[in-house]
Amino acid sequence: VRIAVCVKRVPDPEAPASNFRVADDGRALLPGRGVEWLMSTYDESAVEAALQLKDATGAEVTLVSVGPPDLEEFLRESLGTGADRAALLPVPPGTVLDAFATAHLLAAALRQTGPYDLVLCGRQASDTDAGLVGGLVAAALGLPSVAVVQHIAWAGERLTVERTVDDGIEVLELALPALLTISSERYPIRYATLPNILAAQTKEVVVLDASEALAAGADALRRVEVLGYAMAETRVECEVITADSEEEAGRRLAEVLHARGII
Amino acid sequence: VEGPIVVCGGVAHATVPATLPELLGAGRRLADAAGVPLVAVTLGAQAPAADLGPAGADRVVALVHPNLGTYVQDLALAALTPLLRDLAPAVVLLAHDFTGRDLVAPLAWALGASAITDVTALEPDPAAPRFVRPVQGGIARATLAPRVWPVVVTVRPKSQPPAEPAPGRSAPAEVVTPALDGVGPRTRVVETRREQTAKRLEDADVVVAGGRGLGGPEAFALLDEAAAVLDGVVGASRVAVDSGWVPSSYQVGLTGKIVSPRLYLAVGISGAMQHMAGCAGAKTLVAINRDPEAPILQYAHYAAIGDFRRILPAFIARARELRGR
Repeated sequence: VRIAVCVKRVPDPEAPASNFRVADDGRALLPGRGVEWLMSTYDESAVEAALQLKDATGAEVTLVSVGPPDLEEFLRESLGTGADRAALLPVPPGTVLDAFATAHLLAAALRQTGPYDLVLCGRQASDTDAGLVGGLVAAALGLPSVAVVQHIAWAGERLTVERTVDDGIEVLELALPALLTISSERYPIRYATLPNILAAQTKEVVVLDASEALAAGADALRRVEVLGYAMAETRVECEVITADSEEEAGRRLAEVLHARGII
Repeated sequence: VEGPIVVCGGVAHATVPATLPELLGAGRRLADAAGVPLVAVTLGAQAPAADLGPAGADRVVALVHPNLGTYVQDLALAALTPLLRDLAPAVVLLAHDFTGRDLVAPLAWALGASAITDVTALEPDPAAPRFVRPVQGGIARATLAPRVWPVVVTVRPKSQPPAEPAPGRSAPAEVVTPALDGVGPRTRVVETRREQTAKRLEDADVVVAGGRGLGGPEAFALLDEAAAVLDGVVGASRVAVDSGWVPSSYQVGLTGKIVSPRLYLAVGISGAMQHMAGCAGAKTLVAINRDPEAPILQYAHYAAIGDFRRILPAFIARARELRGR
């Protein structure tokens, strides 16, 4: 069984707004120097889902990414949690990709390194929060896709997956090969272990040939243009309830909210 | 850009979802700016019972088939794709609910369209509309323009007012039976587990939510008590859900429920970007937090600083007295 997990490197999603600024021309949102670059949160859940299937079935897990050449180092570090190998489809630094361009390139990388029985993606990237790439990769590869999966159970050639729906959970069955986008509820992040980090040093990180996939240029692959970014105004005046004790603060809070007709 | 504006929504038991009037509102504004018609397309085992004309639609096409009673991606695609090709729209609007999230990418692909998700503002324009959506957990927003038309757009629930009612407009549903007999869907729904909290949370007037600071599942009993006194519903941050303290249907945030209650009481919630994106629409936000530097205080209108174990019981007791219950 072969599983691929598509992973993206993003600015720390928990970094505060003050660490970001909009570029002078408005066309980019720039993280400051202090902001760490990490694997997107839901991609980490997708990796965990793949590793649990590896633990259960002995599946081979490949991490796949698209981006600048320095992602090779990011992928090698990411192998420290236990995936078997990684593949990078490199694009020149500064290349602007939208979900369609990214999906086209990821599909090319999966074709070059596959075939895979199962492709996993995070439900959405922590920077754009768009949630498009997984479904587009599936469509490009002709695979069925299920979005926002909380749990995967493997039964031979079929999968049983639990998908988030608006009023609860829907349980679906589907045949392999397939693509799933993974949510975080039941796949906590797995941390690298020393033996795995050491083992990662000798694992294969394949740098693929992007010339065919990028033949028409990245610009021709994009279907959406970002006209501009603006920081969201969020700060409000906060009235902090002061009191001699915490119990008194609780009572005062109720009184203030009641006096203003809020409760 | 030419072509009508199309809004799509599921129909269950002849009833349209609450998001459809919002989509019709957004669609109406786009259609009026461009001088094009607004077409509502519904999918289900029945046509909608209500006339969607007064809610904004110029025309209603109901895709009706017994196999469309439950959303299945392959069946929805097989039903929608040929109809949308015929309608040749400029914009297709879906709700950014969990059906929309599953459908948007394969539908855009099938139509050779572009796609923009989780849109919170639409900028109508006679030439070409633009779409605004939050990014990086809500700290910034991006304005986007399609380079390829049509564009399939998912619109965040509760972000759009409905259209001005037009009692004189009538749009009787044109029932179309899609050709689904040859479609063997690749996924099969075997079970649906409804979690009642989910719907109630989105419609709640008061939400009492707990996060990492609660330290464990036990403290949610106190939140239940506060919610009972305030006629509210209990919610949670992603940490509380991912830690298994409460089911995922409790989750408020960018990846959970987007709520816009009159009062949001956040207990032990630090205020991570992705959580605030789910509750920033609250009219009044109150924080109970141990940390006076917690980011949530940048969003809160009122705050009590200290241990919730002492603050919250006193708050509940006093609120009960004041509310006479």
